[in-house]
Amino acid sequence: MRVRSREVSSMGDVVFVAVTLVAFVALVLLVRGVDRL
Amino acid sequence: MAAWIQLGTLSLLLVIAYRPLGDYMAWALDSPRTLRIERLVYRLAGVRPDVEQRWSGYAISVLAFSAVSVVVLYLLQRVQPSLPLSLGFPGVEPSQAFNTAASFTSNTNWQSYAGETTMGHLVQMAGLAVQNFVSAAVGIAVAVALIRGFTRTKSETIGNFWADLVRATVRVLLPIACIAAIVLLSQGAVQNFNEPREVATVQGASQSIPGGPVASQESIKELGTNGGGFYNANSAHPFENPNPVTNLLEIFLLLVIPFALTGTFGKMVGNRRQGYALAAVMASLWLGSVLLTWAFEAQPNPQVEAVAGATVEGGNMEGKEMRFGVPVSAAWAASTTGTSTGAVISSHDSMTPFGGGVVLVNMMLSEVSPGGVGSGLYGLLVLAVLAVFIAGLMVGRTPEYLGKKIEPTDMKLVSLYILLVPAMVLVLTGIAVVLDAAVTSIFNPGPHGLSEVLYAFTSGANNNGSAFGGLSANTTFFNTAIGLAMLIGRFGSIVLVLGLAGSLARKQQVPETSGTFPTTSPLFVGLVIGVIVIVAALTYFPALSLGPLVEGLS
Repeated sequence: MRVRSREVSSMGDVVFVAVTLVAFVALVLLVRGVDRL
Repeated sequence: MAAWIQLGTLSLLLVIAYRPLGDYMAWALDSPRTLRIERLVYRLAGVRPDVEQRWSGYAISVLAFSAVSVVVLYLLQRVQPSLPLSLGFPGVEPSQAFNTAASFTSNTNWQSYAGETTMGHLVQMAGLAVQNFVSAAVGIAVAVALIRGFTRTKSETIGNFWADLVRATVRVLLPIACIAAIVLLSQGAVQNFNEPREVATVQGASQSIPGGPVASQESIKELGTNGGGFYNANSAHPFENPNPVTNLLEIFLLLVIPFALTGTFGKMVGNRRQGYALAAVMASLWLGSVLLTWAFEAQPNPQVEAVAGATVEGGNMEGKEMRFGVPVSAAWAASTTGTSTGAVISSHDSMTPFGGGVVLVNMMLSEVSPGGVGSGLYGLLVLAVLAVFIAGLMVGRTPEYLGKKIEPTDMKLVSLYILLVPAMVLVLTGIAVVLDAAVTSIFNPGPHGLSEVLYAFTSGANNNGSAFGGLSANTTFFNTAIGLAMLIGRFGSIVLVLGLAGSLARKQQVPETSGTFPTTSPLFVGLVIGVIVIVAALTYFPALSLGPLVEGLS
């Protein structure tokens, strides 16, 4: 797969990959919270 | 009459498939045997399928797998121009790529894009269709893990996510989807790698005829209760759904696994009548919503009659395909919103206010009529636990379900499950109707505009994916907000369900006594239906009264 650097390095990509990861980290924290219930 | 025959045939097919498919899935999902292809997948992925996971390990596996799925699907859309079979389409814009990635990974399949003008064949096949399979398999895996919570005694573990995921995909979804795709092909659904072809119409205009691997994607789109259309017109497009036979097949596919999983449940807990009771709850809600939608849509639109100055025959046909008509469109609309599929053959925005209200409420019942693949069963089990708890409160006994005592921890998880999705729907709808960036997306003023926004967030957070329309949802605000609603609605619920599974698996079985509330009786079925309707009514009534209700009454 040939990836042009311009397309994957835009600010939007960083923002939305970060949003995804933050959402999933929040969910992992939910796992820990539920474990304490 | 034709409509009754279709509805009767559909119901008969579902009844015939119920027991064989339910039993087959019970075997397929819990058999210790490993097929050769599965062994290959395990070896490639470095998975040991016989290693059991605690609920938290299971949950983190689900989250890790899904997080990677979102990122890969996002990147596939972004680098589309560099991929083969891209048809010359540019990379999908970041917020829309995020929304689509979240949507297909969470089994929602909300689409803020038009398939034939946005996605090349490779992204459709390697990105979207793959998620159609695995997101549905995740749902089945979580449902099976919760069943194990009921069947196991003093166990710390609830199975292995990776083994459940592979088994659900290889043994259940792939074979049925392959057969269904061949049937669709035989009926005229298209399956090719053609680029859009320009043709001159009889009137001399130019029309673009899109091709694509449609039949293969259409079958899993319905079977996995996904709903994301290859084309923007979704299942109203003749290349996706060419004739009444394919229409019947597609509506059957989207209902068959959610219903049959209750049979799987009955088989696995060793009491088929437990499964029949849950199936009865699902069937009552489904049939009720089909008949209600049909009744409302059979009424003509009074505004059309006022403009025409004459009575209109044939009900509310605005936004409906002539070849399907009112009853079939109503049955499809009720089924697609009740199963978390979201595929459509008619425009829900054009339905009568009360008809549109019914499909909206269908999603608000937390998608259990009969719900998505896997998610319908685990959602209904959570509500059944709540019903048993309420019954216990009435008679002053510690509630129990299937021999497991329902204790404070379980009820906290059940309460969080019930609150999570409505909180997101109502808060995000509230934000969207006051934020300037969002308000400009709403095409209709007044209560109908509110219905459109409420529908969008209800559809997203409940992982349905159907759209009311009338809302320009491809904006940074809606792409991001609905994207997050889909992720939290899906995976937050899954974490809570798995937590419940872990808590139940640790408990001892208590023997049934004369004071145990029987959970196979019609009284139990009625109680669960009552709980589902009352919870949804208490949660959403104020919002509904400002949207479809006030519109229908004015």
